[in-house]
Amino acid sequence: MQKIEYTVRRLFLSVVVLLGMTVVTFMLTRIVPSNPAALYLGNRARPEQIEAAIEELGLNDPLPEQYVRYLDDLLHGDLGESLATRRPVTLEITSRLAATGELLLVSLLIAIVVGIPLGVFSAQLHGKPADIFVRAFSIIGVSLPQFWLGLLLQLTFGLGLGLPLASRIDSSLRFTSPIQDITGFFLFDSLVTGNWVAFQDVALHLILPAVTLAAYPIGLIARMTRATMLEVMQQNYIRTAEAYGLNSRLIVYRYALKNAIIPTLTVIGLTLAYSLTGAFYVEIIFNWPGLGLFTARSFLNLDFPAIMGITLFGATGYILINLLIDLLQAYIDPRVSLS
Amino acid sequence: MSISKLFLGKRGEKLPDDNFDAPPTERSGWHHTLYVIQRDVLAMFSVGWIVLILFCAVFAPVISPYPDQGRGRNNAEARLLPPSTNTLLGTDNLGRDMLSRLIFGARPAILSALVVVTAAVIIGTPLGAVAGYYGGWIDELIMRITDLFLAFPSLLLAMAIVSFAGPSLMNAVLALVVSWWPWYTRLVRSTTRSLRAQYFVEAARSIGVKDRVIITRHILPNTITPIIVQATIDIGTVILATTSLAFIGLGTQAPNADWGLMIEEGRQFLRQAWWYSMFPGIAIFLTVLAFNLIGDTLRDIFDPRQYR
Amino acid sequence: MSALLDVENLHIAFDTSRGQLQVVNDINFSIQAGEIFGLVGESGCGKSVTCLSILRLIPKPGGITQGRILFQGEDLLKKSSREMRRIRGNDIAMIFQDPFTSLNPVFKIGQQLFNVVRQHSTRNKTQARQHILSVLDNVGLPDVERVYNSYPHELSGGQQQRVMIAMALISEPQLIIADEPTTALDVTIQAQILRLLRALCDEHGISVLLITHDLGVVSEVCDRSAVLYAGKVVEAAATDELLAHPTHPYTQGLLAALPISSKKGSPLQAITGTVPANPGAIQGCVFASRCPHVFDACHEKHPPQFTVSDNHNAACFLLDDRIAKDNQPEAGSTYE
Repeated sequence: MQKIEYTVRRLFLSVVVLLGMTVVTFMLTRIVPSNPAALYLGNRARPEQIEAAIEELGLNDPLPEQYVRYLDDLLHGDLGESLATRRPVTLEITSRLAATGELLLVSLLIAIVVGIPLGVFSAQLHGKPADIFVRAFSIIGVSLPQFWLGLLLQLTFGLGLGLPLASRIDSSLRFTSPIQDITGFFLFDSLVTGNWVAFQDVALHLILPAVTLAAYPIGLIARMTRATMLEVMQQNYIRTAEAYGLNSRLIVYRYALKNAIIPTLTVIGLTLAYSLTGAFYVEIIFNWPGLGLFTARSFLNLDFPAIMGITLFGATGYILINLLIDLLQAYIDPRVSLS
Repeated sequence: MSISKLFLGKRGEKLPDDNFDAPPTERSGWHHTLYVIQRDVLAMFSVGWIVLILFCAVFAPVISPYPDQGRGRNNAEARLLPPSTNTLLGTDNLGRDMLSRLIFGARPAILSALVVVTAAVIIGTPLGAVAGYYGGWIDELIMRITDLFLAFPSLLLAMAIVSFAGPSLMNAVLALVVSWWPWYTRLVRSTTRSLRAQYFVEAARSIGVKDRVIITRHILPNTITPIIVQATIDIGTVILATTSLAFIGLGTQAPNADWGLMIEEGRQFLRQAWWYSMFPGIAIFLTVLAFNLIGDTLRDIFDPRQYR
Repeated sequence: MSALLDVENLHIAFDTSRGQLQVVNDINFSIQAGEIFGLVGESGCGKSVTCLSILRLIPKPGGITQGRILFQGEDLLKKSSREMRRIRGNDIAMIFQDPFTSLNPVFKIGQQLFNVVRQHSTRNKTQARQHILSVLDNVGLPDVERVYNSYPHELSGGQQQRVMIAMALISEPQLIIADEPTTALDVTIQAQILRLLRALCDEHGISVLLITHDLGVVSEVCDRSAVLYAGKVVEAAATDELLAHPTHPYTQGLLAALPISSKKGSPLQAITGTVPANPGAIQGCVFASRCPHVFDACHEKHPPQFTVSDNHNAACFLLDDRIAKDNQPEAGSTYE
């Protein structure tokens, strides 16, 4: 019962925050320095055309009315039209979700698979000389500028070893070995259809960007795991396990880790949220055809509808992820206070 | 020392005999902090590097080999030269000496970081203290506003603000201040709440000490250490943020020197002039690393739960 | 008959930032098979760390600096970590003070006990489960199936402690070390747990090293006892003898401090002063600063053990005929 109450309350609060955000983005679209109508029509628009456009777009109506219309559009999934492509912003966003999503998922996987064992290992080394190296390693992860790391990897592995530097897939493959579109995730789709050529190619293209994106999360996850493991190892039940002669692998990897994982889950959720912005830079550097690249182009072209649409979308995604983390934590760990 | 000694350790073993004569030593607070730092190699490196960077930022015109180029003057004949005795770190696309550019680049990095963090602390702390101390509707109100700001990923918010206000370092800094202060509100609020629940606060209130006095004289001083730890680490994080914004053109504008901007400029020359993008990145990396390490060490010192 | 456990000249110290702290300073005692031995003392006297040392579980920065711990004739301090692991939970088992934090919160009871069984025996899954269920029954837990499938936080404090005792019994040890097993429990549950321990000793011949600060507990179940103060054994005897004829001033003080000892309406007796912070630095008797019978010789060196009667020792110069003839009160006198 308490959990349901908590869930409802959090949902309600999230909706409130979302509404607040729409107000903010709405205000921003109206504070745009230049005339939105003129922007919409282009440089060569004549004054009468601009006047007409202003009427048509309802820009003369009182602000609250405009806001309601704005909200209404939002609820119908209408984020306006991109100035650059003239296509609905919503479409631009959804068509690129899979590319960014795949990048995020793979990098998250890498981060977990590398980060947690690193954290456990580093906790075991605590106090011993080698601890310095491991501490430094995980701190390095969170100190690297991601955009620079991407370039560095491109330089060493791309130019050095010949790994692909850009895009998701070799464009020639579209003709020789096209991937069947099931989920939009190239890796998954090519795997289940047995398209090994494409799978290999996609995987190679994924390595550098995913590793770049994973660097910061690896650092975060490793540090968090280390901290929680150190704390867990001080607990009485670990002392009991030792007092009964259980072997240390059992103690560390089952007794301790199972307890330490719980707070680490929160961090994993946080890194997902962080990766949303990290993907932005990675996509720019690797020319990855995802949401990040689109965002960059929109900002560059001052494509305001697109910018606002992306901002709203990104922030919504962020809120949803945070909400999910909170709920997940509340459900997994019964000791979390629900007040 | 054998490799295995690096990794092994045993519990409950006999202590070596020479431990019998260890004399007890008393150290005062700051003295103890310095002592710990001095013993930790990584911390020493960090302090040294930070001092170097600060030095560069303050004395840039004095110590750079080509201060004019540092500020932005071109030198067309010397385009994209590799590192040499003349130009220790090579030259960029406009022939400017990389070393000088890097030294000047320390200015926006450090300056903006200090401004953002200081402003965030100044704005966030009183709000957090009030929210945490009084609770009730004030707390709810402040926390909702904070949540609103926290709901936006800071980069996105900064990008949105800057793209509307026009790209410049100043606007980037303002945008970052707007996205940063909520973190301190949250931090101070949670510390204040746990302090508020302690008996000494009840005792003070019961003898009539004014709330304002309790907050300023009893609660805030105890929030200083977590703030210091967070602020130190944040300086590094803000440097990452400002250089990232400069990288996408929303921060420092050319021809001013900025580490992030330089990386972007060097991107197209990655094959023929790797130094252009690489060195600024190393500068960012080492600086952020240094602040992170120091913040970590400070956290270890201030945290009463010592694992050592 | 040689002792089951023989602790000789045990010294334990902790390495702190303020120098080395001597926590246990030359402790000697022995436990026979089939008896319950009590180790009594206030908090900080070194009793917990002593029992941890038997299983070599003292956490850093502490360590054993000197001494021998003979279990069935073999010095445990000379054993390798692998050999110790075979002994822990198998020949010697330990029960801790707070059963709730001593059990892993994310694993079921059955699972935790199962891991212990598998570690120390070759029973297969079914046999192990059967064995666990019967042990859980032996310690007096009702509805053993339910307990087997429960998480620690689903049980009461008394049930949790019984589970811990079950864990100790699983591998049929010869010695159980119980560190204040009843301190965290209700008084009624206390009595049940103590009776359980007594039954285990009487019926199965398991020796128990019982650590406690409560003289009531000692008088209830311990065959023999030793009194600890500031890292030293100040008196040791069969419990009945100890309570009837307390010889060391500290023991006398402890007994006098019991509310029962005072006359109704008169103030409670307390031992003045506090436990010394760094007993290792004290030249003379560690109790000298609080002792009502102190005299010059007490400040020169710490008194050795003197025989009071058969199997009854006390470390007090008052017992030294050569020195304290004039000062000696009657052995067994209490404070006025």
